[in-house]
Amino acid sequence: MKIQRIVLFALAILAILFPLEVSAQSVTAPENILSQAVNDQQLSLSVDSKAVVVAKCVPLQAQLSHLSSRTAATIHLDLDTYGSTINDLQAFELRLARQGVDGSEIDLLIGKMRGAMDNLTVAGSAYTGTLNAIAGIDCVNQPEQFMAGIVLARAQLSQVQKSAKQIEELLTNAPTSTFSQIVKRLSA
Amino acid sequence: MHGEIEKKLEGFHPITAIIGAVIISFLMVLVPFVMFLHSSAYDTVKQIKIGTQLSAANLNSSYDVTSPVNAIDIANYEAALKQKLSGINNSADFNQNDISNQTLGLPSN
Repeated sequence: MKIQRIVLFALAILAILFPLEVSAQSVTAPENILSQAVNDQQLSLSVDSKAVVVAKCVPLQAQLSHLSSRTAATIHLDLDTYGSTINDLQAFELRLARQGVDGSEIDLLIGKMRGAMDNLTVAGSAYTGTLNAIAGIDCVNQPEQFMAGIVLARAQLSQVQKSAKQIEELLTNAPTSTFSQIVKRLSA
Repeated sequence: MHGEIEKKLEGFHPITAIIGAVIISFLMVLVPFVMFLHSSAYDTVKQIKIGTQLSAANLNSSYDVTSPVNAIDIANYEAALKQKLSGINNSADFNQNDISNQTLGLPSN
């Protein structure tokens, strides 16, 4: 009777943990991103296309791995530049506050920049993660994953472009949207 | 009838049941937590955290936060910002052509 109870208890724990463990593996395994992409895109390659992909896969994997590293480094540098710009703006805001001038436009700009920088970080991480996953697949057995990964990476690159453009526009428009208001206040 | 119920209750240990429930609850919390620690989301959070900490540290150490601001300071900063941003070329850095089928020599499918 006691053994039965222990077995039932163990089974209950397994029943709870097994689905969680499976989902944990699906989160961490990068190849699952590509299998999911194949399913989502309902991708199937003709025999000829498959042969081309298999033939070009290995040299392209090296190229994509390099592209991933280069993109990650670029995003890091850009974020450093935007981060130091935020510091400049915060310093301005503190100086304005000390002289009793309202600098709330700067606060708004910093908030928008931080949001856009977080978007760029997330989009960049997804894009470089996909490129690394493509660079790690088995070229002979997974040509569909390779092609689906490329399509997915293109969509993620669009997000990276969108986030980068958003920050660029915020800073390009800052003289009219932010600084001109403060200059007016200082000149008054 | 009364004796049967008593016999059934004899093998029932509420403390064991509570401990079992606590262990299961703990595991149900632990597994998603471990999932999060191993996910790319956590890597992103760490990156954002490092950036925020660096930003906060730099602000206190190397920036002028006391002298009064005038309109010329802002005009100068606008020019400096323009210069700083000129080093960033998003259209070249994040180019769709880098991963187009044509560039990679892949079938258009």
